[in-house]
Amino acid sequence: MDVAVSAARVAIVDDHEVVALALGALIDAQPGLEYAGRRATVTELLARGPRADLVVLDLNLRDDTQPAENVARLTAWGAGVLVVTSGENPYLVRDVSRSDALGIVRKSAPVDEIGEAIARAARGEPIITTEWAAAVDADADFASAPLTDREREVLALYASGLGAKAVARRLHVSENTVDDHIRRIRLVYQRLCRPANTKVELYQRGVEDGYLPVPTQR
Amino acid sequence: MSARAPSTELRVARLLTIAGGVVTLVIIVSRRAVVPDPRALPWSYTAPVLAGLLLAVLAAARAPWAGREEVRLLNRLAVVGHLAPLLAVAAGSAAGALPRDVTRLPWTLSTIALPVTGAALGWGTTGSCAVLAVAVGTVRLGRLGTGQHDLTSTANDVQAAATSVVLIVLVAALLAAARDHDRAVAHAFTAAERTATERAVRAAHRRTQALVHDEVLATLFLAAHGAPALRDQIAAKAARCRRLIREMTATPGSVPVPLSDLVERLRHSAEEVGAELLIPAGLPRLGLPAEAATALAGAARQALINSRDHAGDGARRRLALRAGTDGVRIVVSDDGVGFDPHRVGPDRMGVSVSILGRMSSIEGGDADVSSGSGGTRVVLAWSRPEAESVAAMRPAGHLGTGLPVILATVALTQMVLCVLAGDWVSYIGLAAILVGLVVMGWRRLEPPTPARTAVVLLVSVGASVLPLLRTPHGYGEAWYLTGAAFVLAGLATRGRPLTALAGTVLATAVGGACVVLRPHPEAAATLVRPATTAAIASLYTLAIQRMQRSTTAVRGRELASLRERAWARTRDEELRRRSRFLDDVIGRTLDLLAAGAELDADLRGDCVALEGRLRDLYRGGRLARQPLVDAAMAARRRGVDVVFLDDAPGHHLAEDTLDAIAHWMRGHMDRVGSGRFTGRILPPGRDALASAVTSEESTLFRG
Repeated sequence: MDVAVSAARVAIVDDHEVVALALGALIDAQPGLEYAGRRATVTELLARGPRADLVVLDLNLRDDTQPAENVARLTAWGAGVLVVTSGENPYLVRDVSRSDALGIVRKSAPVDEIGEAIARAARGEPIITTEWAAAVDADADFASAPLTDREREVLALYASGLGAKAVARRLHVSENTVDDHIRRIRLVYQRLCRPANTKVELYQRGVEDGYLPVPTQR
Repeated sequence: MSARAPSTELRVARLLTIAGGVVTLVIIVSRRAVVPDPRALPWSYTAPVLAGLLLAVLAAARAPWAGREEVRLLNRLAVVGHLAPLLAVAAGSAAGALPRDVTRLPWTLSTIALPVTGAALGWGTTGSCAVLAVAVGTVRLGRLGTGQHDLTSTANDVQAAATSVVLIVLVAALLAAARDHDRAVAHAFTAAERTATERAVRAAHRRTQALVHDEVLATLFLAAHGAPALRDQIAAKAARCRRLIREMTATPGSVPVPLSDLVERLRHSAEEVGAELLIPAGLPRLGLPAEAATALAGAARQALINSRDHAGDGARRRLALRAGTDGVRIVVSDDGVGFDPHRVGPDRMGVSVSILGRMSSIEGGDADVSSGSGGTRVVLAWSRPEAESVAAMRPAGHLGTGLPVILATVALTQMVLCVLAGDWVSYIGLAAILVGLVVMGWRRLEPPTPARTAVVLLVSVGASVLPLLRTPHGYGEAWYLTGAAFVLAGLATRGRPLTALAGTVLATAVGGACVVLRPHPEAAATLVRPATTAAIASLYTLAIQRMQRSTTAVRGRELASLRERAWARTRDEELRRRSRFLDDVIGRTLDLLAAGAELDADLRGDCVALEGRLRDLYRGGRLARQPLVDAAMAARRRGVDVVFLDDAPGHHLAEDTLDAIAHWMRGHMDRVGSGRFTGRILPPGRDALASAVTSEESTLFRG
């Protein structure tokens, strides 16, 4: 995909100013990208701007909003969304994987990897990471999804930490073929596993997954 | 647990011991009035008897401070004090060795229900049955020796035996109910402590997680990746992290927040969104736990903001507060666009869930969100934790086969006395007693209905006029008066003690009037004994009811305080533990950053490694264990991007297996010099347990 003629504007929604300090500089350092500014919540960004082509969204905001809901509001606003995570529970990652976000990136990933992910997301490309693949691969709801054996193999290899090149090498196929598989897996996942409708549902899924302590009767 | 109130069983045992002593005292004091006998017994004979009986009074005086074992011992002594003179008299009588002027058994010794009850408390049901048998035999033997074969002494002994049987059953049921209650309370206490502990661990976890996620990871991230020009900001952030980690152990709940502080915060929030504030004058001086105050203020603010954002233009909103000494209630309402709580967009549901979540995470917190076409109403409540779960003691549930025993004993003994008396008035008396027993209804042991109670009252009080129909020659011929008193006693123990007491007063007054109209010998005994029987049963039931209420209240307070203490203790322990952990892991690095140290490659490497180390606690799950932790720190310092994923969190893996995985994974990680290393526990059902993937190789652990 071609790089846009005018620089793509990237905004950050994160309630940590310090993260924006580091990420903002990283965005400005990427050719063709322009850091538009930071807001603490999605509501604030939608109300006050700045306009952005891509929003780098923190997975776990402190305003009690839900990741998938934030993605939906931002995509409806017309922006692409790349989610960054501090390594939270996979059920949050799964929730956002069911949404239209372009991908999920660890904040602790190497800087150049984050920079590249932002640049590619600004071009509208999906970002496939180990975090995404592991969360989807381990989703019990997805175990019976209509995937081919090869697609399952691709997902498992991604989830184990291999990149697209290594997966292609391992399966003796081209990288494009691997990308095709991944595109279909994402689509099936988004279609089959809808985002949690409510925070309660999300919470229940977390409990079922064993990532949250089961509430006990008082 | 320290300073817990005495067990219910001990309280019941003490109460019964005291009651025994009081009744004994009444008998000692009133013996002359009850049996006005011109042929007074010699003091050499009555003094040891009185001394023996006094043991029961002394036991009662000591009982309020005695433990369970001591109460048992006191009752045994009282039983011996009663039985010893009785046995002496019987033996003397059998051997024909009684003094000449002793013509009868002292009446006070024939009140065998007292030693029988004492035996039930001192040795249990079997012991009390044995004492009953011995006492009945001895009394009869004593009568034989003193030549008492009249109806009065027989009626006295039969009624005493009947009373004893009833008491054996009731005492056993009471003690069983008390033990059951103690078990239920112990269970409630254990459950409360466990729940409070779990909640405290969660609260500590939430707080630590928030601190690590919101402050520490962000600071380490900035230090690892931020420009050198940001050094001052990084130093400030690091100093803040250091302070927050230290302050984790300061307990926010230890200092109560005055209600006025909460009101100020609510006023501020209401002004912020233009809501009307309704706060009644003269609020109580109330201190809330800091966490409750924070939750209430936060939830109220959230509800107000939610209303401002969603209720639509022109909606009016108000915040009303009510406070009592034991709780606070806040209602945030508006008349704007409501929503169906079952069909809402995630944004509004998210807010209501977070309001509910906030309130449910504190002890005694509750919240309710309702909405419709008339607007939205959010109710937030906090009440001082009360022990609603302490169930009352239920003696009736422990009667079992004792109930038919009681009914059969009372009915049969009264029939026997009726036949022995043999006169037509006795048959009317028996009919009244049986009607009373039947009408009370025994299928369900709840208080009889008002109509049934009225009938029972009518027949038992009505029996008092029978002496007018045929003047009795003594206590024996008026046996039915004590029988009617049994019916009143039954009414009292079935939960109508006040009615029974009123009936007793009425029956005694009617009986007294009859005695005035038709005087007869032993009139005092025919009045005092039934009155005492019914009055004791009534007062006794009242005492038990009162004890039940006070026990429930005491247990409630204890439970609430236990919960609070267990919660606070565990939370403090957990926070200290987590604070120490954070201090150990990142304290030194934060100090360096806070001091404005130069962000050289080493320090940045440390920050990357430590950030990963903390992150592993969440997503790494069971892989956050030694020797992987140290190996991962080293690898991250070398520049390796280490990712740990535990994707089988609900799936049990033995500790040995996890250790084996950790050692195996470490071997692979140690060989990586750069690039990425991903260690993963695979989801269940795969053909391997774990995988280790580097940029060059990928291997599986199959166990």
